[in-house]
Amino acid sequence: MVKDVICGMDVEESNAAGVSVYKGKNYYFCSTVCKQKFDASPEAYFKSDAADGDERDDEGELSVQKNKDFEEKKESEPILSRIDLPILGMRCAACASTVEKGLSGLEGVDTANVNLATSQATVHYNPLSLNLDDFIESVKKSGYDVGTSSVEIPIQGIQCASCVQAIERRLLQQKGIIKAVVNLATAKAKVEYIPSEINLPEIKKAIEDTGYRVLEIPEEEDAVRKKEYQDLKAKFLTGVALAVFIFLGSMPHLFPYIPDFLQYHYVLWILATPVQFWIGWQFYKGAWGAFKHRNADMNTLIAVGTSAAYLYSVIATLFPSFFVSGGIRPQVYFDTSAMIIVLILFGRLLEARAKGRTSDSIKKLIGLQPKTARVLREGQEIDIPVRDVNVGDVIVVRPGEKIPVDGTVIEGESSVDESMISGESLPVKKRKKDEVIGATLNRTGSFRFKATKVGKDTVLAQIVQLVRDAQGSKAPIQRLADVIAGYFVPIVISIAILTFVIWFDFGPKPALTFALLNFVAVMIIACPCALGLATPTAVMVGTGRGAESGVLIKGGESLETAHKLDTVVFDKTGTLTKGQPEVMGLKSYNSFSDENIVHFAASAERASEHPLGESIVNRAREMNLSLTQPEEFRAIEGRGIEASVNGKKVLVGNGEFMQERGISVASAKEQGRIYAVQAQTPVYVAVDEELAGLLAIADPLKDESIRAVEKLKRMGLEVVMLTGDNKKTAEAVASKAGITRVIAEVLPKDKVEEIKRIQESGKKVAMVGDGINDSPALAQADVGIALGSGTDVAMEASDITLIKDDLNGVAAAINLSKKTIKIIKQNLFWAFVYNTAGIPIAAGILYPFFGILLSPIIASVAMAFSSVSVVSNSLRLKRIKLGL
Amino acid sequence: MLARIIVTTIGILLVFLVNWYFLFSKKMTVKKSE
Repeated sequence: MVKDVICGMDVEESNAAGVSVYKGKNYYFCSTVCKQKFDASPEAYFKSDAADGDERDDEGELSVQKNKDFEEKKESEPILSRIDLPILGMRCAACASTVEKGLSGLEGVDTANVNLATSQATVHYNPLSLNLDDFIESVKKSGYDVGTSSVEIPIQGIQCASCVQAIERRLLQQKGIIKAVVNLATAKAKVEYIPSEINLPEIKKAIEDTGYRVLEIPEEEDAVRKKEYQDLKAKFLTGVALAVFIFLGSMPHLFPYIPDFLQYHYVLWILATPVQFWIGWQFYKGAWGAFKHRNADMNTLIAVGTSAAYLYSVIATLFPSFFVSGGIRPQVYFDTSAMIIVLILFGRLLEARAKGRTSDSIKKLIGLQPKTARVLREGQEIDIPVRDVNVGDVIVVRPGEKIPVDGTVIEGESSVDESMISGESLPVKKRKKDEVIGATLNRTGSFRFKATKVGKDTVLAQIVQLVRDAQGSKAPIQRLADVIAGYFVPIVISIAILTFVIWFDFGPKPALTFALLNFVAVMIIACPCALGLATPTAVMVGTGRGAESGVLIKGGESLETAHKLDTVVFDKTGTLTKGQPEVMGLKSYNSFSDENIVHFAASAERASEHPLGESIVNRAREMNLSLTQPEEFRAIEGRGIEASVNGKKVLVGNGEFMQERGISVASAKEQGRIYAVQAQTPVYVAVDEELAGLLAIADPLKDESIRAVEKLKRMGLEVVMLTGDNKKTAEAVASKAGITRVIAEVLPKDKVEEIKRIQESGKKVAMVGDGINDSPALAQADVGIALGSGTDVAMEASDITLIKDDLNGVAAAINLSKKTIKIIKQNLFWAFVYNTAGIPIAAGILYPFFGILLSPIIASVAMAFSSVSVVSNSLRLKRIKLGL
Repeated sequence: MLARIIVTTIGILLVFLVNWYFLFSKKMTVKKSE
């Protein structure tokens, strides 16, 4: 008996499906597939055998094998590892801290940071002492789940049972794969994995590395969040259906035509039970998770409150005589508990939907990269998937195609639109030895380039990582309601218990009935409906009001943060300015008219791709001038252009260029200096060796920039301009816009650092920008505000998008945030007033003096009323003026 | 009378436990994440 070196299966030499001779030794195979694989590259298998030879001999359990791989990894990799785990089921800051505490408590964890907004835990840990299963177990212990995706991948070429093991082992070696089961009968691999750690193409590559072919790769989708949302939606819809019947049955005096059987307490009980324990199970789960970590959050309030109403109703259903003996009509409150659960679930449904969008910016960024690359291999152009491109490959790019990876041009030239990466709208000229960036768009020419950076090293991949890190590093905002609830819940429970004790000890007969009723009344009136609605309704109405005015706010957290802002940082190009150079000033000399100068200059510039040239052509269009084709054209780098228009020699360029050509610009020099001081580029035009005119070209401020900046300053905010431009130009533009603090000469990748620096000085920063290069800074800022005219990625990375592209929206958004927060605080105040006034009454404080007792019915009405008042108050936000 | 004593004792104990568990003991636990 020998082993098949490909799949590790035991093979009888006499029964082997094939035999190969390598280095004088015979190798036997279980199937022809294994033999073919071996024959194709026998050395490759020996190389991998040397690396994991033991593994092939091991016939043990796969999980054991996986741990063994960890062990092997441990020795070679003693440094800290990082893992990002999507967490399901977190609703509040307290949930996040529960998970964080659990993870931090694991031995070997260096830091654990749980972000509520992205529902993600980032853990830095020592791989020597921990593995993925430990984290999953810890998260589960805290009462939450790790979001995993599973996928079925059809594989071609699986013939023997041990091929299955080879694939499974390889898959389980990959970081981020939890389970891998390959089914021989269906020839499919079922893989459970953590999407933030490994993606489908990587899984596919791992399978193909073992020598099998993946037939088709299923569409990758955000299955984790989608499933959570779908589950929630199904529960909510079922809940609504049940709650409607419970409500109708509980209010026979309002709905007299309701059939009698629906009013039976037993029927209501049957209807309410699934709502309480199936639909409302997550509240119990959350409350239990929080309880284990000594927290009391909204889940605790909802679970205790609805359970009190439910249990009371169950007792009233089962033992009505107990109440009758106390002179009280046995009343059930199944409608109360069911309605509360369904309402709160509705809020969570909206929240889950919004949360699903948080990862879109990353998806969009990744989507920028083309899927295939045309690579030159053995003199032939072949299309291969981008992930298979290696450093050193020569890639061919044709006009209109995207550049697949980063590299250096080795042949040909073209202009490339890099706007998706740099935000710069004008195409950049690329020739031999110039660097090209992956995901940018080749416009005019064809060229070949050598790949220098692929995979995770490309500029695009780094931007993706920057956005991811910036999003992940944001501290979760402690929700006011949760903080208060942390104290509120234990206090309410204490009061309820004391109420029970006092009524039991000192109350009139039947003491137990009174005690129980008042205990429940306290619980019901303290039920957190209004408290739970206070924030989400205001956020919903506030964001809706913003959207009507073109201010798109991504979720309540941004809305909450915006009111605390004290610094607004503007990107310059494309944000404060129009982003397109324009001819701002025009002066003619030596008997030339304005039209003349523009006609000559624009005709000469027609063939030019220079941004300044384009602005002159635009000016000619505005002046309705017809242009002529230049007979000759030559661009002189760093100087200007030389052309022949209608037989006249036209020069367009800077002062030095004119001097070199012996043209006197003395008469225009003063004007040129004035233009330069105003941050405008002076461009001289000469016709037939004579100075014809001077044009001032600049990227002008947007019409509303000055007003928008002034508004923000009036609101007491510090306004900062952040730009890659030189200091002089930046300061000139800033002073025009009314901005005093300028941070100039900042490279796109350093923008994040500048934002961090401002944040470190204790400021709450908003960043306003438009380009992809701004997206890491937008994500880093406490509030990122993107312009609607900007790139989709910037919009996705931001917290707020100004659809109308009007900078006044910045002030409007902050204003809206302030008003919304005000409403939220009022809501919380009223919710608490109801509770604090209602609790003593429910506890029976008025009974000794006036004989007044608050029945649980009145308590639930009061609670409903507090909810209504909170919702009405939130609706006021619909009518506020935003000053747009 | 005995019932009263039992209910009072359990009640006070529960109040103490709830507050100790959720409020006071928590303050004594040093949060690593902070």
